[in-house]
Formats: sequence, structure tokens, C-alpha cells
Amino acid sequence: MLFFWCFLDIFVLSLHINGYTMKKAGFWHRVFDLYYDGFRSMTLGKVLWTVILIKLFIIFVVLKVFFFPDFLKENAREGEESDFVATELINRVEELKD
Amino acid sequence: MLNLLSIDASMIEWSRAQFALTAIYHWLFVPLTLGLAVIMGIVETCYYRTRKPFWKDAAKFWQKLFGVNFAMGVATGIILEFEFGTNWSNYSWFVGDIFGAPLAVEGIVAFFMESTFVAVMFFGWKKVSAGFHLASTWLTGLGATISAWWILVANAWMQYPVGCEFNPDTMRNEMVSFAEVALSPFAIDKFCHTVISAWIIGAVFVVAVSCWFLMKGREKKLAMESIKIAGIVGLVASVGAALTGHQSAARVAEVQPMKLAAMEALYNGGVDQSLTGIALINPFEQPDYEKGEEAPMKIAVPYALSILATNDPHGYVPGINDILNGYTKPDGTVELSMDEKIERGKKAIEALAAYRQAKFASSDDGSIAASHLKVLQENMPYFGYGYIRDKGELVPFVPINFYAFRVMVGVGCLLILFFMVVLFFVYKKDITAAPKWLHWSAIIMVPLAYIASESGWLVAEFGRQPWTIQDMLPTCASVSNLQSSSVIITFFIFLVLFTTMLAVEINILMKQIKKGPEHENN
Repeated sequence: MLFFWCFLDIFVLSLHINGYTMKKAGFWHRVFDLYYDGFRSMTLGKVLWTVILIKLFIIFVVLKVFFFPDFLKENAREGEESDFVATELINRVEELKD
Repeated sequence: MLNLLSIDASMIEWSRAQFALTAIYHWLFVPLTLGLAVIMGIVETCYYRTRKPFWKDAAKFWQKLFGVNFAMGVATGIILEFEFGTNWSNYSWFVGDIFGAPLAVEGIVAFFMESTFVAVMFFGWKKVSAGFHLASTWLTGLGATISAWWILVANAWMQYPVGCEFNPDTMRNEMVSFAEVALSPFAIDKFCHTVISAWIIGAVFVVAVSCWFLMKGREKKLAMESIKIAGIVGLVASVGAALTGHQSAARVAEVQPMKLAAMEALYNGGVDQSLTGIALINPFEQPDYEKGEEAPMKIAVPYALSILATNDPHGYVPGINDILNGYTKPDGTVELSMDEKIERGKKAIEALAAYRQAKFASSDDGSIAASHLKVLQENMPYFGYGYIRDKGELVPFVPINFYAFRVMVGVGCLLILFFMVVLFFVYKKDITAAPKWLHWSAIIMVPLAYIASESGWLVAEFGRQPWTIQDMLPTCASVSNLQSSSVIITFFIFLVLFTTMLAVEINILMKQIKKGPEHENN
């Protein structure tokens, strides 16, 4: 699926960028140029990218690492997750009675 | 290994609250993305057809506002997945094989399709042909909508689990039919209703911004043309939301009758049921449904609930007590009482324990394990009921469902009226000289539309309590054995983080709206 989308992306870009501008440049150069020029001439986009990067840092570095560990990885032995969950689900009935 | 301590009840509530908070904030960004995508696509199509610079400026303006919202919404949904792994680890493992496929497809589509076409849409005005740019704009919206599809497939599966088989060795539900999961009728109804309602948000937003311009005496042409487009999209979507809402209600009546009974505060059901318009229900207390007394000050539409649930004015709709005590459906099928389902659920859990013990015991030749497996498979549809201590736990909190449903439907009807009035002024009068109340009401409709949209989710999610997966796993079994303090901390971190992000978004949006479109081509 991933390769399909990669292929589709490149295919559609090549179809439409190709022959419209910079006819002499290669395809990868044209793709690079699209992004390079786009990022360089951003105005509002710079603010938005700053917000996005701060947000991604908070989400993936602060929250994921310090506050959202994978519970099963931390508490179950590798390869024995199903046993751990089975014990949890079977014993939970008794716990809930308490 | 972790010590199995007694599960802290507040841990369940805090985990639910945290998930709800994250989902509610996430849903502030999503519908505007989906809705604005349609409007900006139509505006750019006008440019493609006419090649008038005005339309290009208008398309760029709405795309800019789309971009702000898109940027703010990026990755807010990923936090829900973190919460699955930390707070809801049992659930996460239990459904892993079902959720893996839709979420993986969603991730790939979101990343590749949206990132490619968003880039072309924003950076490609002078780099690609007008036709390709237009296609990119539509494909950006399509990408976001396809992403929504897969997320809603995952949600729909929790409400109506199909296409799967429980494997007691791996303790996972394994997908046996991708088509059944991806094209489940519940998912299709949910997708249509949710996405169409998102278009309303986009339309209301565009009308509101345009009316603000008119109030300020600025950008009259942009405002007028945008109101025309958004008014039509909004009216069509509002009527569409009503029709798909009816379809969703009928589906809920079929597969989650308790949710419908809670939405209606219907304690004792029957045929020829009327739909409650309004009634006085204590919003802070679960009503005494066992008594079966009708709520005071009830105003109802005769036969309308039967029509809503069964498409037949004389159709049978079960009430809360019917569902708790068991009832016979019109086709003769007997629906078991909750006490019986609880007994069968307990049998399923005992059989699971016995099966796993026998399976790993060296003395068993396989026959004992097989007999336990048979019992488990017979009772698996009721597995989740084994965790229920009292059948009262199976009744969702009625007041929230009752009022949230009425807010959603009430505002939905108001929106139909609003868009009709707006279009009347556009085509029969002069919208630029419309009375101020109309302009103000357009602005007020933005938070109202959001409240209606969030209310819809409240009904969907509160209404299926106590289940994370309908009949299979309740919240009390899904939750991880954590201390509630850790969830409380992250709850407040999210509250601060999301509120800050919302404030930043509103601030940037307001600045860009005040700035208005850039007339570089005129």
C-alpha cells in the first residue's frame, strides 16, 4: 500500500509538473523546486510550521516518552503479552467484585 | 509482572474523561477541515471554469484559512492512539488485529495523499497547470475524507463488531473478513452522517466569515459569492444530515437498542411509539426507569419514534426495562434478559480461563481444552457481560443522551432554517443589505453548529456505555491497571495544551480573516 501511494504521488506529479514549467529540468529537480520555492516564500506558513513543530515535539518527545509508555511493553514479557492480557481479563472479574 | 491490584474506579472515569477530552478537541479541527475542503474546491472550480482573478483570490483566501485549521489539527488524533496503548492496554490488545488495518491505511493515506496534494495546493499555483492544481485541491479534501472513513470504520466496529473471530490463544480478535469490517452498514451510515455534518460546519464558517465582511462593509463580492456557495452546500448538507441521521437512528435501533432507549428516555417500549420533543429530566441524576413513569412536561410527536426506528408508524421499539428483562422482537426472535446475558458472559470467561489452563497443561491430550473452547465459542457473543455486576450498569446515563440528542436535532433543524433564510436573502433580496440580525446570527451559528456536532458524538459514545466494544468488552475490563493519578496529570496537561492550541488557532484565524484576501491578480 505504501509503495502504491509513493508510486501514485510520483506518477501524478510527473504527469503534471512535466511539460508545464522548467521543461529542461529533471523530474526530481522540479519536485525539489516545488517544495524549495514553496517553503522559501512562505509567510503565514512559517508561523504554522513553527506551531506544528512545537506541537509535534510536545506530542512525540514529551508526552509519548514521559507520560504515555506502552503499558504492555512495560509490564509483560516480550512474546507473552497474550498471557498477560489473559490474566488481566480473567482476574478482572474477581477484582471488580471487591 | 505487575501486581494485580483492585482496579481503581476513578481510574476508569479519568481514562474515559481524558479520551473524551482529546476526542472533543480533535473534533474541533476535523469537521472544519472536511467542510472547508468542499467549499474551497468549489471556489477553485469556479476559477478553473471562468479564469477570473476574483475566483483565484477567493480560492486562495479560503485555502489559507483551511491551511491554518489543517496545521492546528495535525497530529491531534495521534494522542488518542497513545491513550490506547497506555490507558486502554487490554482493549488495545483485544482489538489489535482489527484496528491495525484501518489505522494503517488511514496513516498512509493521510501522510502520502494529503501531504503531496496539500503541498501542490499551497506551493503549486505558479508551478503546475490550473487543472492539476484544481485536482490537487479536490484530492486534498478527498484524502482527508478517506482518512475519516478509516477512523470511522474503526469506531463503527466498536459499536457493531463484525468480520472478526476471537482467538483465545492470542487473546485477540482476528479479522476474518476485511470487507465486512470496512463496509459494515454501521460504518457506512456513520461515515455519511459524520462527513455530511462536517460539511455543515464548513458552510456555516464560510457564511459567518462572509457576513462579518458584510458587517464591516468589506470584500462584498467575495462575501456574496461565498455565501451563495456555502449557503447551497449548507442547505444540502443539513437536509442530508437529517436523512442520514434517520438512517443512523434506524441502525442504532437495530444493533444498539439500549442507546436509542436512553436517547429517548423510553423506559417501557411498545408499538406506535411517539418521539419526545422535550420533557423534564433531571440532568444530574439517572431517572428511576424501573418505575416506568413517563417524564413530566413531555411533548411528543405521535408515531415518530416508531417511524425513526423502524420506518413503520406502528413499529415496535423496546424500552430500557424491556431490554433489561428480555423481549420478543416482531420477527419472533427472543432477546435474552440482561441477567441471562450476564450469566452467559461469566460462563465465557470461566471457559476462557479453563481453556487456557488445559491448553498449557501437559496432561491434557487436547480433549479437555476442546470442550472448554466449545463452551467459550457458544458464549463468546456475551463475553463482556461477564464483567457486569448489576444489570443497572448496562443502562447508559440517560440525561446526557436525552439532552445531547435534542441539542443535535434541534440545532440541525435550526441550521436548515438558517440556510433557507440566507439563500432567500441571496436570491430574493440583497444579502449585502440584509438586516444585522442575520449577519450576527450567522456568527452565532458557528459555535452552535459545533455544539450540535459534538453532541452527536456524545450520543454515539455515551449511548454505548458501558461498552468499549459492544457486548464484548466493557470499559472496566478494557482499562489498564494504572494509578489514576498518572491519568489525572495527563488529563490536565491535555487540557492546557489543547486550549492553548485552540486559542492560537482562533488568534491566527482572526488575524487572517481581518487581513482578508490578497488581490494580487487584480
